[in-house]
Amino acid sequence: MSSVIAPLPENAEAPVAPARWTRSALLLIGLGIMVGVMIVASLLSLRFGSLEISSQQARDAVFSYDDAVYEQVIVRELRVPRTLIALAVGGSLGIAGTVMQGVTRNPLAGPSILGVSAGASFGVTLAIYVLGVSTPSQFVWFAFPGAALAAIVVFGVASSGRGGATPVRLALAGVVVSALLASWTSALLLLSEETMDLVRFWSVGSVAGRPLDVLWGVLPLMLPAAIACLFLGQQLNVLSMGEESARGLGMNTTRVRLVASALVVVLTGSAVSVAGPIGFVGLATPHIARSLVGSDYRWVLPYSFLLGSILLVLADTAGRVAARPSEIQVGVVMAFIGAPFLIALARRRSVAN
Amino acid sequence: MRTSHVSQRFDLRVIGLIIVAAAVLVGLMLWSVTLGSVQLSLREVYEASLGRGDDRTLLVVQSLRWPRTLTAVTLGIALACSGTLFQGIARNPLVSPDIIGINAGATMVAVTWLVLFSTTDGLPIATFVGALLSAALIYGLSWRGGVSPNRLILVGIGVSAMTAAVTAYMMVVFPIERTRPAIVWTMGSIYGSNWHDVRLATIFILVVLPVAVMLMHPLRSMLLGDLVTRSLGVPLERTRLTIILLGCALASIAVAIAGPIGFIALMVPHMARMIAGPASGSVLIFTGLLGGIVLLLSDVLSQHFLPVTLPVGVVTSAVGAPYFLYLLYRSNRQA
Amino acid sequence: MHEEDFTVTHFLTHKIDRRQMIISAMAGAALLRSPRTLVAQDASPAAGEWTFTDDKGVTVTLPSQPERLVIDVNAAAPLWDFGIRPQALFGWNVLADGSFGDAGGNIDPEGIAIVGDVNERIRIEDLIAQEPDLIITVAWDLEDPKAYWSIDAELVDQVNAVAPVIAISTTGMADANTQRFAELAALLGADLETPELKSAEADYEAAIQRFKDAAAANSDLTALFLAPTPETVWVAYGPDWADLNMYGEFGLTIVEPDAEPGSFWEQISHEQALKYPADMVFISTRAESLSAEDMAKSPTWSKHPAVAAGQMYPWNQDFIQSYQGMADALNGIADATEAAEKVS
Repeated sequence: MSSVIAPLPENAEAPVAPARWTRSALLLIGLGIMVGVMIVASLLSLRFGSLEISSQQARDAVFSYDDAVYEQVIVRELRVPRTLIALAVGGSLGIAGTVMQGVTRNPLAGPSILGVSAGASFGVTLAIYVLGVSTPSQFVWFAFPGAALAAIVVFGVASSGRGGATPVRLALAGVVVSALLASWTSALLLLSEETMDLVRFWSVGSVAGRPLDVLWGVLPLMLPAAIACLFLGQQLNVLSMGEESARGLGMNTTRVRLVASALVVVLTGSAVSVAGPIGFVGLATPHIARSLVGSDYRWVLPYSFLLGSILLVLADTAGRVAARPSEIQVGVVMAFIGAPFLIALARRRSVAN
Repeated sequence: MRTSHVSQRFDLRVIGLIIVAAAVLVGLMLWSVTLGSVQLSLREVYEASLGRGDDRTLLVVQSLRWPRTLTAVTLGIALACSGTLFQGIARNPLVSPDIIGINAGATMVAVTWLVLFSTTDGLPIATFVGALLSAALIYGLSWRGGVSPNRLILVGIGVSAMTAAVTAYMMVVFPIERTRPAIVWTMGSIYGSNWHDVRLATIFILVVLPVAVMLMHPLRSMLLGDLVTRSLGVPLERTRLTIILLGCALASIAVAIAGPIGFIALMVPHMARMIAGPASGSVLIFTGLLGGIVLLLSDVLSQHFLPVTLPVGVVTSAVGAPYFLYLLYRSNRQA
Repeated sequence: MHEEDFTVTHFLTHKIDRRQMIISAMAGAALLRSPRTLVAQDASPAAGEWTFTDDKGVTVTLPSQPERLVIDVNAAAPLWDFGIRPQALFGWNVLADGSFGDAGGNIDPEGIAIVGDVNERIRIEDLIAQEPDLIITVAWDLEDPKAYWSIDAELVDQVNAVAPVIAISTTGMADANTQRFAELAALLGADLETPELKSAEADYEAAIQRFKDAAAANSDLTALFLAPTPETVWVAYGPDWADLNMYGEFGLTIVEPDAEPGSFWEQISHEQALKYPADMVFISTRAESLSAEDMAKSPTWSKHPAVAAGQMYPWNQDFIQSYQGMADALNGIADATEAAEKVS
């Protein structure tokens, strides 16, 4: 059986000692620039939306807030929360995607490979149907267990037998568990009119109408997991040299995979529970990050966090401006940006052959 | 994977299996037309099938039960054969028209049609065109001096994600009254099937299946790899294109009539391989019959033996996915 | 010609024989192909015949008054109030748990068969098993001959082959539609002269008068009808809704969103909350809608004059066109109009 997916090209260029410091300095400056871009993207997100406002009003909303002015209320109460949520969700998905691709050495792996999105959707649907939960801030507590459970099943099936959870097995198990959960979700949707109407919006993936409480609720999980991921760079570098080499260097690859995957589950589970299943951020950002900084995961990880944030904030802003007086959900916008990206990626010889 | 010389021989066992499967299928069909809320005896059903009986019985048997049963059977055949063709061409047992993006493209067109026009008149044709267009798009985008199977799959996933986003968007820009039939449709249902559907599916199968059976031999040589295939003198790209076209045609007709019914195309070829051995012309026929049996059984289950009636696609996924996980689990244990 | 058409026609011709349905224009095979043409032939009814021309202009003639009725929930709720008891129910508002939501009104589901639900609006074999004489539903579109609520367009011919279908309008004017339901109920054998119905009718007429008075006395007030969800807000386009259209006719000023006729809604984002200022906001009572408390807490909607003034009231999207149903709805809005202040 040949795999859908080819392994990543192995770490091609060994860093040359004299160039090292200049390279690090450049990458550090680059990181600063990315932070700048992120701030600009966030400002754009505050400035532009479904309702047209003036720059002055947007500025006032930030610096001299007057809650009697409607436009300023919109900036403070709607755009600030969704911008923060988009930053956190985008960053989490970006870094989770990078870790996932590193662990599976699979350039097409995204967080959804673990069935996490489907698991979260199922958890929320079940909660709405059985318990009558109806507000996004309550969805969180059902999305998360759903996501974790799906990931555990995927891992369980994929790592049964000798050889452990290889990329192909993970992908297969992930696809199938996702399909299974999707069918159960459908069945529940059919059983209740109200569930369907609530879930059809949630399942598109959106950062609209989520109060900040939702974010504060998951941040204690999201933030430590993201920080922990940043320290996985060296391990991912070793893993990317291949299973044999990694073992040869004395690494317990199974344990690293397990820890990294657990972090991915936490990150994606919390992201999905806040914003619904948003695709492509986790898939695309690692590639953009790699094209910017090369294959050293110690740099790819922080870059992918920032890139994920930027991507999601910009996509959300675009979706709000494009369909006035309504808006297009960020999940839809991301698919439009991400799918051509995936197709272009698939056309690259190194990936498809 | 079994060695090729084992499967090369013309297998009497497979022919026996085909006869058994055909008998089971016919038996199931006869059973399924006796089921329903209008109580009819086997004899009444039999008489009505031949055109004798009172008007009510004739309406029930001839206009409702037979079309539904035959739709399930023909679509089961089409889906299973389509899955075999795609799995062969991609040399990957996990591939099916659902994964390669054809269903998603067809679904996008169908959902747009349903929410904009609120009618299923003309839907099969629009959906069929949608399926073919997405297949052409996937094939075109995968072309780089030839189409590698892996690239085809990856591009398919991309196209499918993008069309799925359009579908999702359609679902939220219209109020629930308009989108609900579309949502139900996307779960795969043969609710309201008629003779027209049966005729359409039958024509497709009668045209496509014989060609597909003839192409199974070159397809098998492809399993050995592109280089070997070329050295055997098989025109690689042309054969591949033909097989993809045939697979698309079968998948398209199924999705056009019933919406995306999951897991039949993925699962049945596996079951057939387990029972009858690696793909060949005769195994393809067996796979088709098995597909008919599985989809008909799923429909009977969803219609008559569940506390609530569910679209058949929900049943096939709910049954198919665990089965597939089990397969995966077992193959891992054996590896 | 498809086989199913043939069977349908075949069945229908036999059915005509069986029920001695007298149709003046039996000649011509073309007529036999279409059940619609067949039942629409307006023959002068003979003695004992039952005949009704519905809101789509379809005339149904039956040899006697139909007894076994299979009715869509949105038509069954008003007919129930008029005293009609269905054999079986079907349609969009039969939810998966077997309940009818707000659309069901006073219907007592005990002992009534269900032959279709929100997922499969009408199941034809289940319908046949009920041996209906007449099938009744409502219509949001009177022009398109195949547009029936809860009967999918491609099933209309098959359903018509089982029993004739009639539809009462849910567009146009709710008061006229209510009278149509009353007429239909009387034809189906309901006694409209019972003390209960007489008093319901009087209440209904009083409610109309009260509504007109309240609207006239507060003619400066404007009303906005919404179905808000956490993600998006649907603004109702009055002319498409028989209830809203009637309120407008009776003097209520309804804010009209920027929508195409026939689209029923305009969808706006929460940022656009102030797009349509109004003095009263009526919020859909469907389960997925935000509640009045949610709206009052919303940072944007709390700036809307009506919401800020607490002038939010419930709106049953599945309005019931009977004396009782419309009197409740009219009194609710009259209460609101009398209580509300000019705030926009």
